[in-house]
Amino acid sequence: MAGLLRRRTEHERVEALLSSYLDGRTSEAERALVEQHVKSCADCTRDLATLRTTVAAVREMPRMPAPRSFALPRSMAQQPRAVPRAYPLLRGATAVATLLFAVVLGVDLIAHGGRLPAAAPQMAAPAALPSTSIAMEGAATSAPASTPPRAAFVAPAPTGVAKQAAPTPAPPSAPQALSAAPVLGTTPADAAKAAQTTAPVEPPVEQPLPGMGLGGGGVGGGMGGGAQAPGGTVIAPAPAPATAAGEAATVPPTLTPAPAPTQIARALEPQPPSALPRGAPYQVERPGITPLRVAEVAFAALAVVLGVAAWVARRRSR
Amino acid sequence: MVTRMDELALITAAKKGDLDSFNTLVLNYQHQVYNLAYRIMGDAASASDATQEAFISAWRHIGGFRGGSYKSWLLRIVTNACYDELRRVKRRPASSLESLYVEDPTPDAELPPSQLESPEAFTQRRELNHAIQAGIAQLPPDQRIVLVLSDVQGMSYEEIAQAIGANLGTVKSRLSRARARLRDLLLEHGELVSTEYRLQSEGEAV
Repeated sequence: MAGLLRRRTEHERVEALLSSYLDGRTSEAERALVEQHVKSCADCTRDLATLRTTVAAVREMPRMPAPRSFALPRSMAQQPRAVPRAYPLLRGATAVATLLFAVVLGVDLIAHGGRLPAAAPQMAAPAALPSTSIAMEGAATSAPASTPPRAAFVAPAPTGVAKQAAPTPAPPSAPQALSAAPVLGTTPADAAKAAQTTAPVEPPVEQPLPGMGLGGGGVGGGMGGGAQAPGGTVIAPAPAPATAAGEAATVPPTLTPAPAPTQIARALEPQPPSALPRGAPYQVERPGITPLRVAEVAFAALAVVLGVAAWVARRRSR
Repeated sequence: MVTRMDELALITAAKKGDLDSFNTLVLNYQHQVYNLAYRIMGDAASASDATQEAFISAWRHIGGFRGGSYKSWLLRIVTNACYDELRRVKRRPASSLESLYVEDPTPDAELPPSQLESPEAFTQRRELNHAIQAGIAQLPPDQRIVLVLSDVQGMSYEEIAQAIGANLGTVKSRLSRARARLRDLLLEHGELVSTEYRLQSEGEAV
């Protein structure tokens, strides 16, 4: 038994040594072991022979000539600058900011997820959230989130505000605003902005603006910044304020006090359009702004800025 | 052929940004590099990609070449390029022996039979080479690279250890497993029988 065991391990050792043995790269002791073992082991004798044949056959393979010249073209002459040292840092910072944004967003969603305080507009639901569910909560029409500006526009504001001020159908001038939208951009967020800009001409009708959260959430979501947009609480500016609102949409960081009733003032919080993520503006101080949301916007903007910076850094080095 | 002295001068010039000097080195080594890449990658397209990548990488990092053997340095870069390429290609499911015959007619086929060789022997040799290449392609990358560096490139254990950044023991055991596996694949495919026969009969003839 012991002899068999010893023999077996010896056999395995020899098997593993055959390759080195062929190359003459075994120690003296190993060589002796192999030669002595092979004499009495038919398997190893055969293995050694086939291994030798295999190695010889591989060595005999023809050399493959290069099919073409691999000389580098003139355009390569300029040795490229190395990727800046800041690059990995920027990458890391982007990831961290994105993570923080996600965490804060998650906390906010959990904390305020289902409920809609009448005063505070709801968090924008990501586009994935079909407006139908909101519509059930809120008011009449349901516009699929994926529908372009028009549908979103017509949809009544699906929030507490909407509930309060039972939405009146969009006034005739609304379509005008809509028609302007596609020019500015196809994203609902842009459309909404367009609507705001056009709004001034309109009569002082309470006009439900698109739940930006409905359409806009989808757009902004991709940038990380968008999901923040306050829900479709938007009520179109009444008398004069429209201009102010329009401005606010384009000149983000300023806090433009809207000279209108609070309801109106509350209305337009443009969502950071995907192209201008930095411009997540607050038009007006209002109860809906919580530290959480500020943090969300801040992190989202930070993530985007860092991401762009990293991209630029990387690109320059090419 | 570039002499060792020339080579040093070319490297020095290349380090200063002289692309022509570098390209002289490229032309001097490209057959070796391509052959190595071809045997590791198993097909001409991937081998070309890896070769190109290797030379670009060598050019970019020539400043980091600290003397010693330029060839070893270059082959290490090629090996790494092949690793990367293997990961990238992520294997269209490991090419079977059959698919290799059909899809990848290697230029081996063009090598004319020598005058001493019968047509049968020529065909046999060709098929054997195909089978070996297909067998190599079935080895895991670590084993494959060591086998090619050793038995195709003819590098010593020490050179291989340096090229792949492993110790001698690892090189020996990988090579041992690679050769044994390749042998088994060839036996399964019935290739080795004829080879053995061929080698034996050649031996007798001499």
